[in-house]
Amino acid sequence: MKWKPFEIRDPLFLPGSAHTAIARLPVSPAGLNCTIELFLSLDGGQTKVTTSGPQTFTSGEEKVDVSLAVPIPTPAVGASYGVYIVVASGGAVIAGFQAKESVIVPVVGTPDITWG
Amino acid sequence: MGVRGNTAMKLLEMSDPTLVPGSVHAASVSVPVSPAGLQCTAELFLSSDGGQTRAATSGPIAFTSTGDLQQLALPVTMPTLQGDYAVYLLIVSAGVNIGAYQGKENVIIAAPAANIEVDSVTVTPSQVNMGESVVAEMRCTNYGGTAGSKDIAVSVLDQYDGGVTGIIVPVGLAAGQSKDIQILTDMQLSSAVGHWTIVADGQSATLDVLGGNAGVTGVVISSDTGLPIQGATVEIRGIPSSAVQTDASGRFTIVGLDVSGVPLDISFPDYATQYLAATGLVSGTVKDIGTITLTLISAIKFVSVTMPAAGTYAYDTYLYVGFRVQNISSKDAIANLTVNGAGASLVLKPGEVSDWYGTPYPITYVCTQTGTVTLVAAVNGAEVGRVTITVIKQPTPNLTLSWAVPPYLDSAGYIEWRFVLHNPASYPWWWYMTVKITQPDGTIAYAGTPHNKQQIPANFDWNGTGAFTPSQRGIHTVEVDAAYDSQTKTVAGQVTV
Repeated sequence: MKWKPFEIRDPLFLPGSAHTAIARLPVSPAGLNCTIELFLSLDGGQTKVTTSGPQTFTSGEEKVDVSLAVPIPTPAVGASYGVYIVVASGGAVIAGFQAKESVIVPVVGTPDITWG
Repeated sequence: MGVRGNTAMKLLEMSDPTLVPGSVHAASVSVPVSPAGLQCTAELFLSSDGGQTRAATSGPIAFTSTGDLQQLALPVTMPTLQGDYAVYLLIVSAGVNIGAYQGKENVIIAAPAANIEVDSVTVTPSQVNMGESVVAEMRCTNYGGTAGSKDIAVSVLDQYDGGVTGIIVPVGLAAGQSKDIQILTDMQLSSAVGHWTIVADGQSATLDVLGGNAGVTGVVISSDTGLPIQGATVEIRGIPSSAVQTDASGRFTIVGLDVSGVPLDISFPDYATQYLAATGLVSGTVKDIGTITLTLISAIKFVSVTMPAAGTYAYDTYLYVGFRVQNISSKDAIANLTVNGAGASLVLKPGEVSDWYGTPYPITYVCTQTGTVTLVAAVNGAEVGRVTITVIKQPTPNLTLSWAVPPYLDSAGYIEWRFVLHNPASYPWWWYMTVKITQPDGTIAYAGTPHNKQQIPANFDWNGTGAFTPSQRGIHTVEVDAAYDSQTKTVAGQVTV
């Protein structure tokens, strides 16, 4: 799939937290029954580490807001995840997007303190 | 902007330091933060109210994560108020609290105190005659941060039964000062013959005092034979240099004792050391204390043991532990030789050694317990040797059994045969061999010992031969069996006599 770039903030989420993305997108013509899915990936969109699953919406004259709830993974070491959005209608993918920024999930190991 | 994110504190191990109010100390924090390249801050602070208020803090110290363990130095000026302070560490990135920790131990803020310790005790010289000059000192150091004093308890342990004479020595030192302090006077130390131990705060030194003008004499005999013991040692307890030996008649004379009483130890190998309190002595005379009987500890004396080498052995291997013991009494004695429960009881004549055809008497241990096994050799219940081995049980190899020469009647009238047992495995194996002859009347006879255990080396043809003297006429069936676990190999042949 050829991914089109899109802008997001560069968020930092704690491991295991849950976050909801609001996707506002114009799809035409109006009246199409569509699905939209947001997922995070470490390998260029090949593998979905975590996903909102396909959420349905109907295209309209105006831009449509769709809530996409994504659980954040709990990696052993911190990582930056690529963010991907796939829009489909009638079983066919009609658009794929990759965010220019990544979702960062930081991990802090157990510190050791000694006094000087 | 406020900090959001983790608020639950995780506990972490930390040393439990005591620090001076207002002093500056850098906490060295070793922490892994990933992914690499994150712009973060770390702040370490002390709090006495559960983290609500910062009594002292490093402030946020900026760093960039490396994705690996990294060292952060977080300097903190300690609070001026004495007390216990919990330690908190916060790691923040992009306004999000990504790590919050509390030390399991607290920092204690306390004013400096004196800490006086005894470094060593010395007695010079360490051996004197009664009344001679001797110097006993203890070196003390104040390791604390301020001047102070301490009462040091000094004890003198006597040579009789560890009885204690105690005094208290007050010591005052400036911070960091070391000093040698005399702890007893000459006359206190060298006033009586004996072996003395001077102890102060866990440090100690000894002093031997000799040179008394009384003595004792006596005869040492054996509880076993009732005869005099030549070469027994008599010495003032704790002073080897005072030792004398008994002569051929068992007699000893030891002088230089103190009329106030001196403890003597009388010893001889294989006998229990006997303690004698030499009291009632008179200055300038030697007191005869008569006969002293030493008790033989054990009639059986351990000489040596030969253990198998540590290592790995195959299941069912026979290992041998060789014992050599001697009866040193004047009567017969029993030596119980054991290896992990298996063993033998030997009755030895006086002076007899447990040799078996010139070698140490062997006890067999059969490796029928797999895994790590510790072999313990004991003589009359006392351990004399130990080795740890590993026992493994490999699969039973598929041995083949065949006739090399089938049974036949030779010219002298004997039935003879030869067979081959081949072990194809890369390890030795044990088989139980039986050669059975079924005679014409149906009775069974055996050639050799039935179920004779035989080890076949790895990749080896083992050749077996045998002969049988027939006493009947007719058909004899010769059958050779090689058995192990559930496997049995058999060859059979017939001979007509």
